[in-house]
Amino acid sequence: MKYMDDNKEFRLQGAPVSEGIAIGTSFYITPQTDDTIPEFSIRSHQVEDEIERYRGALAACKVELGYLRQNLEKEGSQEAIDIIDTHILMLEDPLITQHVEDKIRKVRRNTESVFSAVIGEYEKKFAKMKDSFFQQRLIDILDLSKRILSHLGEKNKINFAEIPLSSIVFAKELIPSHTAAIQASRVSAFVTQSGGGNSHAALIARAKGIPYVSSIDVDLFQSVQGRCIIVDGQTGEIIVNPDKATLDKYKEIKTRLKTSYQLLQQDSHHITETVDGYLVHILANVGNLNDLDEMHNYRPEGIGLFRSEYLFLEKHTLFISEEEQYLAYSELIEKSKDLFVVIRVFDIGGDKNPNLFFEHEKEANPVLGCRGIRFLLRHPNIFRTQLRAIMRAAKKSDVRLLLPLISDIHELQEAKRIINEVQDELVEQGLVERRYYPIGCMIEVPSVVFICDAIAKEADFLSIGTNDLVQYTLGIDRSNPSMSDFCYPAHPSVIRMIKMVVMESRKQNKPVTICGEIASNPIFIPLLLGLGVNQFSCSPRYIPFVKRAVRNTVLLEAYELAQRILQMSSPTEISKTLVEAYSDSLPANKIKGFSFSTQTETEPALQP
Amino acid sequence: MKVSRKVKVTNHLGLHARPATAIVKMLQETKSSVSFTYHSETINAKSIMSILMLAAAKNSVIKIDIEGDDAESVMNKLALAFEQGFGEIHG
Repeated sequence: MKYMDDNKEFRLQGAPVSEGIAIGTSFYITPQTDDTIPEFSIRSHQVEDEIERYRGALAACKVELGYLRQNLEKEGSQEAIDIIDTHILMLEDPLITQHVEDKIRKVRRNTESVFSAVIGEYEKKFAKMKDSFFQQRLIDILDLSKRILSHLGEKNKINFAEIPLSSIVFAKELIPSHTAAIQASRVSAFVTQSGGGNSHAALIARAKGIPYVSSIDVDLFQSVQGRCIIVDGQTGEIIVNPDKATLDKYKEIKTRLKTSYQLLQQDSHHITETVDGYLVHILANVGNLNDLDEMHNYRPEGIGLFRSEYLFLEKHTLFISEEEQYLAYSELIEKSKDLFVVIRVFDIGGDKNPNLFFEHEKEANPVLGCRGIRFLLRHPNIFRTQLRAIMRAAKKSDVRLLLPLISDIHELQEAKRIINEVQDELVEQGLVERRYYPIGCMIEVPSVVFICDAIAKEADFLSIGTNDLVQYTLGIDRSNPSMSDFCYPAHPSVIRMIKMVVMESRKQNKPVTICGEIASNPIFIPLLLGLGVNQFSCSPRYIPFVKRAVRNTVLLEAYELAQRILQMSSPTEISKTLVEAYSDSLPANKIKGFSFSTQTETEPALQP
Repeated sequence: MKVSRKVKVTNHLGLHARPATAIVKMLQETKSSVSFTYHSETINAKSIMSILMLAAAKNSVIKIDIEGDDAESVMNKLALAFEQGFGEIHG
């Protein structure tokens, strides 16, 4: 282009895809030459060789994707890993394996032509879809097919390791494996001609925190490598040859960027996501029917913890009739509107409120005594009455059951058995229609952390109660004021335990919620996000703070923070790092009222 | 053994790449044959591309048919995964 010849500043308007500001030099990726696919027939004795060649190409792709995946694991970008996993499964898909092999045998033509014809059929099918989100998935198949074809023949591949540092990559289109192969540290931004906000490249760019602008005529840049370029992922503007004033301005914007994110995204009715678009679910902890109306103002996505024992505190007994409980749960469900409700069954026991059960035996060590599920299993009549009342009230609404203080797998299995029995009984009596109750397990005793693989198989979801977990892990009585200084969740043991639980539950595809005190403390949010937690349940009034903390977090940075902290052994060092990371992510004094040592949530009444 | 059940897609983006990946991974362990029927189209549920080509959005109702020794347990696992939105949503 002519106007590129002189070094004057000029601007192009594109569509913003991934936020952020980048300043760097242009690097144009030449589109892969559209090689014509060789087409010829083969003789019957060549058929098996052709198939062997095809299988070889698939195997080579698998190895290549495996390497790619390993590198991504080091970088920690889960989005990209997910995409690679999808591609690996596609390589094993009968439509790619068996179907193509059958076709080769049937039509007796070379692999490339058969393969391309098959992919062409899929392409047509995707093109017919009405939903653009699904249409976008075609790009995976095309990307993979390019990869397979490249292993069938020899072709020039782009070597992303050769891209100069802080390049702004210009390309007609980015295919997912390209975006995944690019190290975030080398590339400052992407600019493409096609590719929308739903594309994988967009997802990965956001996950890696790389600014991305599309709908730019990239051919303009083909002849001019190495120009100074500013990419504004907010507005979608591309500035070529910026003059000094523009450069200074953008440098300043860049440093202030994190600040502007928060200012832009304060409204609590927006979905909660990190700066780079990672969705996080914020739920409410509730203990009282009267809190429900106000709770809705904070717009939680659900009730992550309903402490059922609080309903009956003033009664000083748990022997409340099924009818009375039924009315209370009905009100709970009605007032929750269409939010799901996780009802934690009575969490009661020696230390919690001894006068609630009549035949209370003095326990020398009530915190280690007959609490939570242990109490309920020992008093099955109380447990069954509560379950009957909940199930009758629940009808078809989304009610989930949470079991407190599980310390071994048998307690979980036994509780599940009782829950099933109670439902059978109610169905038989014609009182309810059969349905599924997701059953969750509280993770508050260290023993279940270490058998979390088994627990995550057995339970439908997990909920980490950090308050008790800290107490049991550090061996510190949290009701003892002289010990309160030690009772902090920043202990490396606790953080590593959370990590373990998240990893194990992810393997089983089971959601994990953090519902303890740290879920309402913004200082911990980046660390928890970095450990892979994406669900927090806290007291409604803390929801805006937690949401804001999430929106201030860049997942990639959070991940790095978590990796750093997992290497640390000193709790003081961890607290210091958390506080520093937190103040870095915010302008000073933006969020008041939180300090590291502050106990953010004091449970009413029952708390010892 | 043959079992059949209808399930609803609950996660808000529908049966996109991630849930499809989860399904196929889950079914890798079983020898039973598993098929999904949606809009009168029946596909092999062990084929990730077939699942994607269903383009089943949120709230689509999918009929699952399983035939094999562990049909019942596979069905329970699958139905649960659908119900839980494949761990993507908790709501």
